[in-house]
Order: sequence, then C-alpha cells, then structure tokens
Amino acid sequence: MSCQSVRKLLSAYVDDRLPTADRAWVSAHLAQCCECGGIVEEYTGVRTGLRRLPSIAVPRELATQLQVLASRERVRQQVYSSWSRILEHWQGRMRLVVDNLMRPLALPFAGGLLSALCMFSMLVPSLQFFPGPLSTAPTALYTEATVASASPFGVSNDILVELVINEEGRIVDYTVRDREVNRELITQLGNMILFTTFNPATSFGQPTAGRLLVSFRRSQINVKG
Amino acid sequence: MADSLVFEPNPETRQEGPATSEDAALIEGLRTFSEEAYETLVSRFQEPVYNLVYRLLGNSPDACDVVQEVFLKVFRNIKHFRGGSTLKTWIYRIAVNEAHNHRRWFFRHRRQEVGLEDEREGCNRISDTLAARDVSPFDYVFDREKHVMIERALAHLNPTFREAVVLRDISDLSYEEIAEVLQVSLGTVKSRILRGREAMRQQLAGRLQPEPALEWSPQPAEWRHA
Repeated sequence: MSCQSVRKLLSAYVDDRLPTADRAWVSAHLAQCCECGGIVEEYTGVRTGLRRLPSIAVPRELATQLQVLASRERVRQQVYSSWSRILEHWQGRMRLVVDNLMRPLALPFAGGLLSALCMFSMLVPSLQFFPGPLSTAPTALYTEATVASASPFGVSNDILVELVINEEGRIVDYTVRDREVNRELITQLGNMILFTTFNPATSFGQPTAGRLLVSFRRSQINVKG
Repeated sequence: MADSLVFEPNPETRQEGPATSEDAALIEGLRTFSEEAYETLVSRFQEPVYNLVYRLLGNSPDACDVVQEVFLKVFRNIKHFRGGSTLKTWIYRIAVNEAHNHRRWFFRHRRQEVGLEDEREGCNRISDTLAARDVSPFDYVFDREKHVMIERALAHLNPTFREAVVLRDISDLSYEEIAEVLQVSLGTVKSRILRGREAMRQQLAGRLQPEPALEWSPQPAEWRHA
C-alpha cells in the first residue's frame, strides 16, 4: 500500500465516491500515514472553501434583459410555429409599415390637393379657350364649295363656267370654258352669277378659297364638283 | 452548433432517469409558448447559470453576455431536447460550452483590451458594504480574504479542471451529472476533479487553516493586599 496509489483516490474519498473495499483500504492507510491525512484535510478545506463561496446575485440589468429575451423569443417561436401565423405576422408588419409611411404624408398630401383645387377654381374664369367650329363638318378633311341657292334668272344657251369662290362664299373670278360665247350670253351669265350664292370650300373645318366648275343650262344648273 | 445541443445522454453515466415531471411540465409549457413557463425557466435557472458562468470566466460583463447567449440557445433549441436527462444538466452543458467558446474568442480577439468599468459593478448592493450583524468584523474580513484567495486559486486553474471543480463543488452536481454536462466518462471526471483539487491545494498550501484569533474571557478582579 503506497502513498502514491492512495493519493489518486483521495479526492473521490473526500466526496465519498469510493467503493466500500477501496474506502476501507484508504481509511486504513490514513490511520497510519499523517502526510496523506494532511492532504485529505487540505482537500476537505478546498472543497469547503469552494462550497462557502457566496452566491453571486444576478445583476439587475441582466435579469431585465433575460425577461425581455424570454418575452421576445416566446413571440418569435409562436410566430414561426405555423405558416398561417407567419403570414399573419408579416401582414401585420406590412400594415404597420404602410401606416407608418402614409401617416406622415397624409396631411401634406391632403393640403396640397386642396390648395391645387382652390388655385385651379380661381384660375378657371380667367382662362380663354379657342372656340371650336360649330358645324358638323369633319375637321380633318377638305370640302368643295357648293351652291347655296340658284339665281332666278336663266341663260339662253348652255355654258360651262369655272368659278373662283373666296372664303366668304363670294365669287372672285370666273372663266368661261366654252369657245363660242356671244355678248348676250355673257350678260345673262353675269346676272346669273351675281344672284347665285355659294358655300365656301373648307379645309380642316376652316373656310377657304376654292374653285368650282358650274354648268348653266337653259332652264337649269348642273354642278360638277 | 445545433447538433451539439441535441442532448445525447452518455450511456456510461446515465443513472438518473429521464427528466422529472416538473421538468416535463416546464418543457411542455415552453413548447406550447406559455408565458408562465418562459418566466419560470428564467427565474429558476438565471442565478445558477450566472454563478456557473461567472466562476468559469471570472468576469461579470462577459458572464452577462454568455448567460444571455445560453438562454437564447435554450429557448431556440428546447424542441430538440429529448428528455434523456434533466433539464438542468442540459442547460448547464450549454452554459459550459458557451463559456468555453467565449474564452477562446476572448483570447483571440480581446486579450489585450482593458476594461474601464468595475467588473462587479452590477452586483454592488448596499448590503455588500454594510457589516453583517451576525459575524464579527474579524470573521467577516477573514472570510472575505479566504474567499478572495480561493477565487484567485480557482482563476489560475486550467480551464478544463476548473470546469469539473466548479460543477462539483460550487454547482453541486454529482459525478454522473458532470459527466453528462462535459460529455466525458466518469473516470475522466474523477481525474479532472482530482487534478483540479490538487492544483488548488498546492496553491493554497498552509493558507486555509484559520489563524488563531485573540481570545479574551472576562476574569473576576483580584485584590492584592500589599
């Protein structure tokens, strides 16, 4: 029984963790060996000293942080426990983000809209709009001059005349296309033209000058466009 | 890291049965997100875990950080706890691992830093500075000096042996529980405790015996006749 082999067991001996046979063997050795007995006393002293170390109180900040941590983790675990709760959680978060984004903008937006409306209503009476054409004629087309009303006078012979009509519907000039025209027929033609009214040609809805080929006959007028 | 939190009981040391009924109720409460269970867990384990981590690190701010990490891992991994051992052993194992990781990180990154704040600032209370009523000033100072000596000796221990000694003598765990916490065999636990105590004994040799106090006992006055 050597001290070296006994000393390997002394720590477990102090803790009463040795089998009965080993314990009896160590006890018998300790009764004879003062040095090993001193080591046992020192182990016991170390053990007692460690056990008597005062318990350290948890700092208040740490206790508070742990409570916050527990609360936050509980909510987090609850949220991530199922897909429906995850969806609900993110919906709530998105709603909160939108609310937080919109609330600061709501007042400036409403104020800006109201002031714009006020300014617009104040400016409307002073605005001048260009009056559009009242006729139903298509604005993007060119229309030929037409005869509004025929003269009550007639001519003694058939004659073909090209008329130049201004934007007011009046005849500016005329050209006789027939070669054989006598003086009497020219006089009749003058009366005929003088008392015939015309609608001016139009371009994009606006009256404009145009040419018109008119055939006068003895009892009637034939207009060729 | 999550794998290491899945508690696999050591077949060699498994003597204590599965988690107790109190543990089972607490775990069930945690798994059903009961607010009371979360509060109970914190109030039940915050002090022992803080004391354990503080004794392993010897530093209050670091211990606070590590304790928060420990509880965070407990909350997030409670679903992996299979009930093969007690809840206490499982939490202590996380605490020891976190303290070990923190110590390694500290030696890599912040070894040269020196803090300006008092390490035990958060623990200062008025009761710590007032003299206790039931002990004499001599005993109070003597105890305090002894505690400081033991704490210094503990701080100088090899971390591997310190874990075993702290778990045994301060946290008061059995050898089997220590083996579960440290994931080692019973023989290794015995060896580490022996070597830890031996190192402390050598450091504290001859200093743990109480100094003989001045003894004074009232004696009746004697008249001397000239």
